[in-house]
Amino acid sequence: MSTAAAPARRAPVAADDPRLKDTWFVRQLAALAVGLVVLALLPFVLSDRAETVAVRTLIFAVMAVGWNLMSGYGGMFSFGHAAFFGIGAYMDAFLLTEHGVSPWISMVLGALLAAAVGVLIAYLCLRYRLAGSYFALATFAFAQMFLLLVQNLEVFHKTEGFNVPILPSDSWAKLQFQQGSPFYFWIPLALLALGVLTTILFARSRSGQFVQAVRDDETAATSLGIPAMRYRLLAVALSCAFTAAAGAYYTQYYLFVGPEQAFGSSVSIEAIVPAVIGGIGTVWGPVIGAAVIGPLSELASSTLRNPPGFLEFLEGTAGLDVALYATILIAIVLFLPKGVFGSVRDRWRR
Amino acid sequence: MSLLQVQGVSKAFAGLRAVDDVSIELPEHEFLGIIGPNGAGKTTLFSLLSGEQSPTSGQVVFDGQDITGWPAHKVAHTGLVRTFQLMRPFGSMTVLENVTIAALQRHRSRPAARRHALEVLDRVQLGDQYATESGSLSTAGLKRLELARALALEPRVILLDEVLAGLVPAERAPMIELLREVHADGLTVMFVEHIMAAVMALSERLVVMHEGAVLMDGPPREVVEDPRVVEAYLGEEPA
Amino acid sequence: MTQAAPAATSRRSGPGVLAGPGALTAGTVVVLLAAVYLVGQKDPGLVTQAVVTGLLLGGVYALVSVGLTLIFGVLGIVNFAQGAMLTLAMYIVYTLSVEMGLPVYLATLLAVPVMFVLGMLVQQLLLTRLTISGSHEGPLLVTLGLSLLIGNALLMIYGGRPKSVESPFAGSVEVFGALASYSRLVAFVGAVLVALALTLVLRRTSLGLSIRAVAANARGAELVGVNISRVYALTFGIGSACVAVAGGLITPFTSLTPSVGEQFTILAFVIVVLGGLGSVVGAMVGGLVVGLVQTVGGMYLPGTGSLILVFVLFVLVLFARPQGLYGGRS
Repeated sequence: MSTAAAPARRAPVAADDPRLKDTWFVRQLAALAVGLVVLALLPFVLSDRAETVAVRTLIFAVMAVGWNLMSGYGGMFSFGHAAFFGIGAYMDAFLLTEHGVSPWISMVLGALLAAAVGVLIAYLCLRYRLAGSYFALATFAFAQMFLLLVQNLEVFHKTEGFNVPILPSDSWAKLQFQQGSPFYFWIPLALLALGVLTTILFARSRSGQFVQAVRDDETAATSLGIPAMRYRLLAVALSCAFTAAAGAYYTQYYLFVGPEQAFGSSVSIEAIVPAVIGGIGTVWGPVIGAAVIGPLSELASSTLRNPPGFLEFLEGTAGLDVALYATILIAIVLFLPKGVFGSVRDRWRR
Repeated sequence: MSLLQVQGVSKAFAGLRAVDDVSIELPEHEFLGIIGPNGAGKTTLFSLLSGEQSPTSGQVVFDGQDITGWPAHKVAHTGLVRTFQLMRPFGSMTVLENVTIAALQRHRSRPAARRHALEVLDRVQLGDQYATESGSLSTAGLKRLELARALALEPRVILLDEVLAGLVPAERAPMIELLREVHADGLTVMFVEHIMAAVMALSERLVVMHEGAVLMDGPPREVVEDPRVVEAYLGEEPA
Repeated sequence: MTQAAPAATSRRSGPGVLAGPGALTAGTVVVLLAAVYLVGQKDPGLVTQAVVTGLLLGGVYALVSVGLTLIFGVLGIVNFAQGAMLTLAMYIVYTLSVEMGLPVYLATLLAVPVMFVLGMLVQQLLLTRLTISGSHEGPLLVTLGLSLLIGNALLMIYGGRPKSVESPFAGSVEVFGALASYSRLVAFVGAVLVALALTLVLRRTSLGLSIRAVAANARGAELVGVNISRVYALTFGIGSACVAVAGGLITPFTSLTPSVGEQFTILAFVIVVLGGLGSVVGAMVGGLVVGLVQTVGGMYLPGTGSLILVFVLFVLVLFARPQGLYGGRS
């Protein structure tokens, strides 16, 4: 009687078996490289005004890529990603204005703190069987709580927020350049590229595969030996870290951050909508979605400043951009749940 | 010493004993069948063995190690693996990716795991469907996928929960044959089944459960002819 | 085919509120209040005032939360738009009373069926497909989207400046040495009456039975002939109506801005988590507790600071007992 653990295989599979061919990884990296090169050229062709829209788009993209790691690949939907964005934003603002710490360091510290907070929240919630709704509720609650906290504590300047002092000349250490400098575009681009690369590597990795298995069916995954909590928390940590980094950059670019800009619920939705539009749980979905939302937000702002005749009543009001995001969110969830990229990819596969 | 020892295991829910003081010895390489009417506690027993649930009393000893109350993922690593009655594919992944997830437990490198997964798929005759989205497989395919995933873990004991359920008669014979082959290769099997033809064809020993407790335990022929068993298990499928 | 798992939780009924978690909560609250009176270094009259206001406010919170917990219990979704719907109800009441001259409470009465129908429509048109197809996140995303859509639409239409509505009853009454304005009393009484009426409907009517059946097991309820689509729609309608009543009742003493509901959303979330997701009794008990925490805590941390204490309560619940007071499983 055989004491071997494995059932004997009738026919071993050859290393060059065509079914093992998998070009996904290489294709993604190639797309990333090409995209990076193309986008890097943008500052040379865009006007200053268009560049601000582009930077805003990049920030949205990093937020959405971050959100997608936890919510799309991990299946743990965060409804309060502003909590993590804000941690990065305020960490940067506080350390810079109060202690002169370089924004680069704040970015890392903010990422670490956000990851720790996220992991804690996730751990507390995932113990409870109603994981999905409870986690959504808890993340939403924490974002609101942080908003309240900074609005009420003197150390965070309450409702006034932080103003980043403008420096006389360019400084890499303090991450400040002349207005319209291409570096303001390339830095978030690099951050986005890092985020997308992380997504690609993670999705393919053992950890990422396990996380997706847990997302698809936790019971089956654990029955196959996967410790669910450990891998989920990993996805959460990565997700929060990137979103916080986006927050830190936000402060440096806009030179001002207040409670609403950092922790407001519109921030949470800005992290969600691009991923939903593009396709939750895909590598490129959040990026494509951000490319839609960024210009849209610009369009909304300019419409409110100079509305066309039939929309005159909107002049001077606020909130059109968020209202538009919200409508798009609802529409996509109802009619195109896989998102634009997700649906196209599915059709192409068949 | 038996490979798997179930000793006085019980599971009570607020007064109702779903599993009542069950003791079973499973020697290595045996093919043990568990039958019983619906609600007899068979699936609950499997959950207690594989770690989805913890017994309220009793012990589960696997290969000399007390694994009572261990969480499911820890149990799977010891070599005791189960399949599910309701199929649970990882819907976003292809057939190959599904099995690779299991193979990754035994092979840290992705290429090695994929290769092993493909071998297992060939074994259960799903090799040509390696790229199919798991959600679009037929019932027979899904059953084979469950089995493939379990086999990719290179288990010593496999707990099969109604692996033939949902298959039309024509699909049953190939599956029975596959189980026979897998057993012949060295696996120890405990399976819950309603299809008496399969039970009689495969089981070397039969345990009958009724209302959470073991009613009888012995050679298949003897067990099915015992009047107590016949009385408890009326309405069985014709052999 | 599958083994039927016996129900691990039993429904609390009858004197349930006084037993178990209810007694524990009441006891803790009494102890803490005693501590505040004795060593809190605040004038006892002030404390009593805070307690009274807190309870009155808590009643309204309870009503908002009952709607939310009911929706969760039956539909399994967290209605992120609960607060936004409260705001919407308040603006409807504002428009009817200030711009059209109707008495406030009459406006409230009119707003209720409007919101009820709106709630049903939201469920029917936006959510049912998703709920039935078993999508977990879809309904959540839609309610989140809805909350922001409503909030921002109101912002665009009415602008951000606070509005207020006159109370028809000026003056106040003395309760245990504290002052309670008539409008707050009316709000409390109204909220409690509606919450009790709702509980009666749930316990005594066949509609209530259907709702509870769907909450316990939707598939099972469907198999015995319950029209679950209809129950879903009605539940969301009821949840919206609760919020409409609450909104109308608080307009006389609340400054109205498009984001006023956001604060209620977060409070309702904490209350529902404290009480146990899906437990109506829990929502009521939780509402009172949170009301007290807010006002008594507000003596030490004025303004929005008192909400931080609510935050602390939330984190405590998350750490110590995530299933809440009346939540069964963990």
